[in-house]
Amino acid sequence: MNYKLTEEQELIKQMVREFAETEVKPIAAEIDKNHRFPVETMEKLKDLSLMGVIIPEEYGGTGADSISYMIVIEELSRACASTGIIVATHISLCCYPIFKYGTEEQKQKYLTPLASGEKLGAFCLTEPGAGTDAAAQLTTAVLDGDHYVLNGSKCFITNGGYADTFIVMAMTDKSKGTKGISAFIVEKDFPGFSVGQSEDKLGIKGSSTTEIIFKDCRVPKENILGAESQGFKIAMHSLDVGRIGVGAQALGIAQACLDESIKYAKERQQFGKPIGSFQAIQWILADMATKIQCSRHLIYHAAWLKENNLPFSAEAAMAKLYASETAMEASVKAIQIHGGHGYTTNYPVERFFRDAKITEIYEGTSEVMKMVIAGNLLR
Amino acid sequence: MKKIVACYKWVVDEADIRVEGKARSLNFDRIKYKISEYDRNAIEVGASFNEKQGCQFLAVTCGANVEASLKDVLSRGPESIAYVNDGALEETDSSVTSKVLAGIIKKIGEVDLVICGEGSSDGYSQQVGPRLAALLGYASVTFVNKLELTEDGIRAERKLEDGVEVVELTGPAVVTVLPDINKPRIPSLKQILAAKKKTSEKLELAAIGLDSLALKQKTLDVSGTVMERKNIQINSGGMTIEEAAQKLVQQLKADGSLA
Amino acid sequence: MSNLWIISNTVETAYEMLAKARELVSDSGGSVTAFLNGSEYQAQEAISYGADLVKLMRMPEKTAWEEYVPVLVQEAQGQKPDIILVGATRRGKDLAAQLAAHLDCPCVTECKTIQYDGSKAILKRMVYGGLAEKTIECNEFPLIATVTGRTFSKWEVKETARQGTVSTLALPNVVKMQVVERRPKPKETVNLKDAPFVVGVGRGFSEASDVKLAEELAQAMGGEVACSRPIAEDLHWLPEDRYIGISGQVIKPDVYLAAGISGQVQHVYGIRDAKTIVAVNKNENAPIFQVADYYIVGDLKEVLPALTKAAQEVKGS
Repeated sequence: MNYKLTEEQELIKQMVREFAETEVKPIAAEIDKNHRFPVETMEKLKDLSLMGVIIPEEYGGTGADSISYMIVIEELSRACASTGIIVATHISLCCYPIFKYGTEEQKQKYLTPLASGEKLGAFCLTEPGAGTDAAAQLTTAVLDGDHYVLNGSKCFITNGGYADTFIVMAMTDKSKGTKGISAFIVEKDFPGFSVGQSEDKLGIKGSSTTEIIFKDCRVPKENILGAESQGFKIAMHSLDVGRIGVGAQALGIAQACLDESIKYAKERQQFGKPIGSFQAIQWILADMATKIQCSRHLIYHAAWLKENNLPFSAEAAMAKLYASETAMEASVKAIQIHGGHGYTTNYPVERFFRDAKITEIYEGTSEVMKMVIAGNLLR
Repeated sequence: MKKIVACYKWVVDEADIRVEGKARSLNFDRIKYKISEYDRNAIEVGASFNEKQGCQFLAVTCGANVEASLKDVLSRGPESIAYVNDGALEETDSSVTSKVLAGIIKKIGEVDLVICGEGSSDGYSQQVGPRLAALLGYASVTFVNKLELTEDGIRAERKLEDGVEVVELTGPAVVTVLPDINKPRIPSLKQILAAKKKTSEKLELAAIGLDSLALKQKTLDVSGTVMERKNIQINSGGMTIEEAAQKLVQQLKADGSLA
Repeated sequence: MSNLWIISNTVETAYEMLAKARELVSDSGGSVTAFLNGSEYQAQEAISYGADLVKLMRMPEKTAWEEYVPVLVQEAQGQKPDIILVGATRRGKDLAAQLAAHLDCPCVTECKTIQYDGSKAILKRMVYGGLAEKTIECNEFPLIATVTGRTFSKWEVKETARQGTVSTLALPNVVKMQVVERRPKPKETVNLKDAPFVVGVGRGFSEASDVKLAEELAQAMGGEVACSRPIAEDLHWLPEDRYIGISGQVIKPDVYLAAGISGQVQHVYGIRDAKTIVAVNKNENAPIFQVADYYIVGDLKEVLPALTKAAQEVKGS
């Protein structure tokens, strides 16, 4: 047992926090307001080698450990949840599956530019009719000579409008349900690939969420990730990593709620005293802080299991479930502490509230997390 | 190839200090340490000469618990570090600090250029740079916001109260730099992870010829500063801005504060 | 009998330190020597303001003023001064620290107060960016202390009858630095230190064009415009010599009006000794209000023009 961050992890935390405070936080409200993808931040993230945290150096990453990765996402999300999810999606759901399941050629060709931050990645599983029920996929991939031909459309694709490389799930054998799904590496320039409509979302408005359309999209045979029919397994394993990432994003949002609430409770005077001197406020802060600390331990523990190659699906689900609900609750309470001011865009807590909600939904809803946890208990 | 040293101080982050009670005593219970802000500029100067002109670049520090700072500083550009970590340095003053640093720099040997921040973010005595210059017999070039290496020396622009003074010199120098000389980098994740591969050399006080460290000054007390101000809000109770403005100007006039 | 020195490259600060030096030697009947960057006339003035001996250290043309250090070291070894007050300009602080290292003696930078009883000295100075004040005892002499302008006051009335001797110090034969250029500050730049009324512009200003609101107010009040560090160093809305704070200007006006300034300790350091502090900020919880005598909660775009108008009316009446 060791509950202390290593010196390196402390330095990473300090570095990402400094970067987030000086470069990410100042534009967070603006990119939210204008629904603007922070292109300039991507360049800086690349310079700080933050786009391939857990990918080894030989493939363009830094080879840092999974807890460092959680720290990176937490600290970025503390400043801006949109930026947090852009990076988390790129690493967990695009870099990681290529690293884990890709061939050496695929790693050289696709992972190296992704992990070094030259290129941005995305992950396409969800379809209009296939959310939690992945077997209801309608996108198909049919082998035609040296190519697979993809047809169908995907929705709610994070980074959709800005990514270069997509991991795409498609049915190669419809009769087998989830066992008939295969995974492909698709470039945005492949013929028949197009980006559809952008979503107008409640929160994380600085991130790009789009439809992706495949119309006779020709993908070279060698771009299949893993073997045929391995797609569902690849997707589920990637989502386990994705979920601790979303958990870390939720943790960052929750921490930001607490930071703002403490600051406000000290500054805001009512009845001649700071409102933090009232027990009503103190209890809310104490509950918030306790739940945030619980979330952090759950997330770091799940990341530690992953780092040590131990099973972590259930723990990842617990971490995401608890952290996302904590973020939602913390944002509601943070607005309450801020009173009328919290309901306006003069303070950032209304943004935290809108951003927090998605963490209970994407990469598996809270209900799906409970299915995963219960499934592990009852098997 | 020139050999450059940047000195830095591992200081308490003043943002974590709490002022408590009527005595306005300082509470250091929850403090964290950091590389003094101004020294980050000094380190950046060295890092940039190292990268652009191939100079050899080392960091130097001393204190009672500076080992926690080594990876941090090494992620910011120096190729290696030499330091003294000794409990005897728990309380220091500019005199002691500069003697220890001068000892380390002499031990390193043949250093062409020493760079310091203009002052430390805790004490801000602004003495260590010029004191080092005196102890090493180097030229002292302070408050510099532009610095170039010349073949056998440096050319520097000093920002002084009445204007800019451009100086040139041959031979070794100690330069103190202003915050506007550069924007210190945020180290990348790669640089942080690479820090553990760099070398650090721990020196004992005896090895640099310092046996006794007599403080030149004794601290009697450090307490939070008091600002006795009236704290009167002019526009309380639904007063319009125009009324408040008139009231304020009248008040200042009544106080005799307006000429 | 104490022997005090003052060293300064600006004459005003020299006169102020002379008053303090006379006070410190008054009981022991010691002597005060002034090392001054000035003219013969100013040397006579220094005598009228309390110096017994004046040694002129004129600004060299081809090298830095701080190159006088070896000469001062020799003088100090001969004369054995007890306390050396040095004007805390940038040149002064450099020279003081070098001198202290050569003499292996204590040096207290930018002291706020100094007491001396002939055997020990007690000094106070700010630390931690103005958050705290440190009280220091020194028992070892010589003691060097640097003093910023206006920390002490010069004698209100000169004693023109005072007699003293004036000599001129020569630079050492060998100097390290060559001055290749001096670019004086452009004349139009302000002297914030002498302005009775100063308006400080902070980040509460949303755009550069709004700075004129502060300028209009300053003009109506017969004062000057200053700013916080980000306004000068990050946004470049105002020149750097107008920023106030621990690493910028330290001012003591009759009235300082902080407009849209949040109130970080590093900024407050620079206005601590203003006679009256007024703050205007739209954030009712701004920390600056805690260090203000008077404050108005409101939008700068409304408050500043209203103040300008009110000031014009008062001046007009």
